[in-house]
Amino acid sequence: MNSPATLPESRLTLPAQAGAKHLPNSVLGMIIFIIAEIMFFAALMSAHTIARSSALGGLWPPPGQPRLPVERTAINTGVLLLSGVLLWLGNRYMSTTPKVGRRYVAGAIVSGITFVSMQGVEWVALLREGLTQTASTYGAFFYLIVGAHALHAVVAIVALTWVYVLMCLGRRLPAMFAATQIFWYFVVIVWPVIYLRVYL
Amino acid sequence: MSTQVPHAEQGIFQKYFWSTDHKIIAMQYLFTGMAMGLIGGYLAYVFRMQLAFPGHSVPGFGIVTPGEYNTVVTMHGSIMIFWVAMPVLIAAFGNFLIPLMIGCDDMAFPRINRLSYQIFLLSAVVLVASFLVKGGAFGGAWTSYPPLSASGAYNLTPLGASLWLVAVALEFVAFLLGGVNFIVTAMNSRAPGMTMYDIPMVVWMIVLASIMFMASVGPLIAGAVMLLFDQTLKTGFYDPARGGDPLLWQHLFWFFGHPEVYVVLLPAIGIVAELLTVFARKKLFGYKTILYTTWATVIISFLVWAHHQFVAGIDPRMANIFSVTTLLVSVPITEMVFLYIATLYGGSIRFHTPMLWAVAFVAEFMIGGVTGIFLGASGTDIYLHDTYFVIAHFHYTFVPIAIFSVFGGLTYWYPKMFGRMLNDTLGKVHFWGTAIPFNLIFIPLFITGAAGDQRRTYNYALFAEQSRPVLQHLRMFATFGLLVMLLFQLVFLFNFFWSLRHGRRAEANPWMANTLEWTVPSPPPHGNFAKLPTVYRGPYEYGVPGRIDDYWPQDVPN
Amino acid sequence: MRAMKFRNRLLVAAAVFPLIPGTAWACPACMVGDPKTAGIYLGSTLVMSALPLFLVGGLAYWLWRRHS
Ligand code: HEM
Ligand SMILES: [Cu+2]
Repeated sequence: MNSPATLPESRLTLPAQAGAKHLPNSVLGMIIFIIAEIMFFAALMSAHTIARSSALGGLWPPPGQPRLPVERTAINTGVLLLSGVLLWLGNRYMSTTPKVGRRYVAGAIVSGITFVSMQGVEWVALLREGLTQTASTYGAFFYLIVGAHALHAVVAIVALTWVYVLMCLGRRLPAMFAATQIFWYFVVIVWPVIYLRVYL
Repeated sequence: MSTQVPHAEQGIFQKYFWSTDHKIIAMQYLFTGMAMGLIGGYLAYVFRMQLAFPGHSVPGFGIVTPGEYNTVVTMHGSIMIFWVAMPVLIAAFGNFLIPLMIGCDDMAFPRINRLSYQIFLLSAVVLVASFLVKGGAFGGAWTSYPPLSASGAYNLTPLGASLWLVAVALEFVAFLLGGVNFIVTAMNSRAPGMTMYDIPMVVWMIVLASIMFMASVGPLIAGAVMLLFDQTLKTGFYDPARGGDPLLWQHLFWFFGHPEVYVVLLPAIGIVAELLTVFARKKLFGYKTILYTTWATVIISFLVWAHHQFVAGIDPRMANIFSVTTLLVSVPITEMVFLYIATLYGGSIRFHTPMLWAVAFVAEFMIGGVTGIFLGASGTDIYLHDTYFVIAHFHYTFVPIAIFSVFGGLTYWYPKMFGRMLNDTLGKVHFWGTAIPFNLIFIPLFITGAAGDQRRTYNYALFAEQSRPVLQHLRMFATFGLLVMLLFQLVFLFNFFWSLRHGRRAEANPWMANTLEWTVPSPPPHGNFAKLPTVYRGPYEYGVPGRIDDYWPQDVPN
Repeated sequence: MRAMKFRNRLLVAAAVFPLIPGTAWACPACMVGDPKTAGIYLGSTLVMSALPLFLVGGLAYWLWRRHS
């Protein structure tokens, strides 16, 4: 390795020598990926907004279509937000008392799984009541947006569980843990937006 | 474990098909893109022959039915943009150049890089396979507007339409993975001493293009999923009868589509910047200005996309805003062209083949940009929209981008890629045999477009105003131009494959260039640099007064 | 003097022109449809156009602040 000492002062403020300030590859990569994800969800939401405003006869939800479970989903939203907070706490304790930190991470995973399962139960109920993809754009957008979010949640939970198991086996994975956290926070934070726009 | 196997013992499969080496992945993208380019060229041959000699059997294809005509046109456009320009300009050059030019051994995420190519290959296979399904490949135009694309009853290619969407979506996933890789690598893996302003222009451009791609591709993927659902699950996202809105697709498509044209443009002008400086032996004029201008282009190009919908019926207030931004975006591009010309001014120019391509790029691209102005003004666009004038406009931008700059880049980096020199005389024959016929194809099409030829038309003899002999002669002329251009590509293919084995051996730095890739042997070994380089200056120190050599490599202390 | 005036008048006309698109633009499609939907289209267009700029700009700014 070249010693940076041979370089003039003006060339020393570089990632390779910046040490602590330097963002790990996986964190930077995840942030960039999240930008693409935000645009994906923004497009779905704007499409939904347009469909909603141009609904036939201005009726939304369209006549004959069931109402969405606003209250139960509000509780479920709380579960998801709780999961985000637990993960944040887990991260805080991970460096000082990893044992406590891991326990919080486990809590975050469990509440994440609870959220997804409760969503699944709601879907089954809605399908029974006749809300389908083909019945109206109302149903179509509901399953599209909520389904896309659920898919992200499942992937994030799997990733988080994987990192958790590795950490329990004694591996230290600060960068990977950070990247997974970012993904989970993203899943947590877009949900309230979806809830406000799609359910209310 | 595979990491413990020494390199010498890697099998052919391990080395060429399962490698995580950025140079091998670049070659995989390059050869896949070239193969797709041959298919795209063949399709252009088929539909140009139909237009010149409607109803006659096309040699090598047969009688073209109206349905087949739609398929051929659609697949030509899709292949050339998504499976030729994107993989070659961004993925092939990006993979090959970024690690070598910033002085590191490989990409930040080598295995994600390998996955990216594999998904891309899968997308190409799906697309080519869609020619074979019942009804044939998709025939609803590369922009895939619903309701035409949403219903098999309209486009007559129900299976092809869905496969097309699947292929496009897979391709975007591949480039998403590649884009993350490029951006992170360029930000985190630069050699010690390489500041922001020492990064070669082509690396900057590929990285900026990747940023644009990442920020614009999400909406298209969202729209594609909705369209796929409309096709297969019979949802009504784009069906007005069921509360949907077909205009929605145009929004989502062009939100991506317009940045996309800059996504392919930026790497091309980056390549051209490298070629111009090396062969003019002059410092790039206004490095920082070009860089800031490019940032401005990135910003404005997110604000112009609705100009593709002037005729579709958008809010007139919106049409005005987008007219203004569209005209604005030509300002930074024009400025870049001027800076390139200023780079040439007073240089000691060497007209090797790569330089011919670079100069031709600047000249031809200007024509494309100038004609874009007519389309950007919503008033004139109402007349010119969907005519051959638009076709000629974007071919005057796209052909310089996807053909001229690619050939320029290939002929320039060929020695580094394969360790042999290309034949320069054959290269020049190929250049003139491509550049002149290119103009012969598209100048007549400007005229037929202005005379009212609508694009995506199977046979103009069916329209009284368009069946005048003078217009038909222009169409035939354009087709002859294409035949000549295609024939001259054989010269290139011969040169390329012959030189792989019989070309003169290339030394490390045959062009006497400054950037880091020329400091390593040709071709570079696995891991690129025996000793990781340190950077002491910018990439364009050519003809510096007071030095004996007229170049000054970036890694030489003084 | 007269030429000046004419030029000024031209400039004013050019500036005012974009504000009266409905009557100035003989487009068959653009004035039909629901004005509320048109407004929402306009709004979501603006949001969608600005969003990537804020995201990428925000990231760039944040990295730059971290660095210096
Ligand atoms: C100076 C800048 C440019 C301006 C002002 C401009 C303007 C336009 C406009 C207004 C249209 C729509 C025409 C219509 O459909 O009626 C258009 C179409 C098109 N442009 Fe450009 N353009 C510019 C540069 C480029 C570049 C650099 C590329 C490619 C890399 C490009 C590729 C295209 C393509 C592919 C289409 C046709 C899309 C289709 O299939 O409908 N343009 N351009
Ligand atoms: Cu455009």
